[in-house]
Amino acid sequence: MKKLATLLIIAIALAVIGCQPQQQQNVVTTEQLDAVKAEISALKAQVTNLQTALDSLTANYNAHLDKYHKSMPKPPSGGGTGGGLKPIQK
Amino acid sequence: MKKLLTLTALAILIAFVGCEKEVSLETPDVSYTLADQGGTLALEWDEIADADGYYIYADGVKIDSVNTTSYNATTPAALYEVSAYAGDQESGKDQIDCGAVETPSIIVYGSGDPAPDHPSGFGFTSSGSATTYSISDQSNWPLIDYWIHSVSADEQEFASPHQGGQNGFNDEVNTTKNSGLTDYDAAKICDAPGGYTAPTTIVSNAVYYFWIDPDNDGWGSSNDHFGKIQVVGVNGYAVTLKIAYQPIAGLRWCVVK
Repeated sequence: MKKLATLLIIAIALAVIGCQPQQQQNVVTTEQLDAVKAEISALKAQVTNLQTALDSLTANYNAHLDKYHKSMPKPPSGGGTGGGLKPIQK
Repeated sequence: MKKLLTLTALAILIAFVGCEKEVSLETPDVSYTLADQGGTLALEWDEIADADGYYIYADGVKIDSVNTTSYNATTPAALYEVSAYAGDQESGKDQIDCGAVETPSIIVYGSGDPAPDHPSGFGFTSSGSATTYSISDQSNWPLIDYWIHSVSADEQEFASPHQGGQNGFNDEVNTTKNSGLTDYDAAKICDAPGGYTAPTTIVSNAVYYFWIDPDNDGWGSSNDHFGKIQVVGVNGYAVTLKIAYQPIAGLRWCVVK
């Protein structure tokens, strides 16, 4: 009798588990897809802008290096006087 | 009797012709000083016995004759000569070599050039030839007369050695001046002091006068030297130069030999 009760409980438990509704699958609607696409486009534009800004910054930095650092006499020339030499006229 | 007279006249004539002295003119020994801040070569020599006067030649062309023992040469040339003359006789010529020594081509690199084997300095040997020196090698510093300073990758300038490093490559205060010419041969005399600068922006094809003034004491004929530099081309940091150096201290002439 005890065995029978146990089997019955197992059967009920299996039935309960088996009757659980399937989880709803993730479905993406066209509207959602379009929204994501728009968001990606916006992000792409931002990246492009960032790249442009970075290029500009790099150019400015290189110009600065050329003017104030690379123009120094080569080591060990005493470190140089930087980008500008003190002018003389005579 | 008539024959006798004729013979006598002939004998007298022969005697006169035979007695005419053959003049042997010595060659003048010419020395010089400088005037007009190196713009004039003042020639002088001792009087030559029996000379009627003296011929002056510039670069092989007779330009003047004088009956004094001095001459102020103001026309730049590479060679001046003086001879003595008497009638149609002329002595040998004494020469004053005043030609500039030319270095046809050297490449000097702006100090911003990262390549270690690209020299940024140049100077002149005792013969007047230009040679390049690496400014990275401190043993070269005493030999540097000029160096090329990079303002940027595409702007170079002639700089004086006293402007190099922290305390200068050496103490010389050497300057340059844009002549305003692009014809190298047309530049025959450097400008007098005034308007010479350091640094001086380098422009392709321009001809520059240079003034080496080691003591920075103004014009002098002891150790100042002048010359001209043509910037044949500029390619990034690389600057190709053609240079003429006047070996006579203080003389501003730059006519190439």
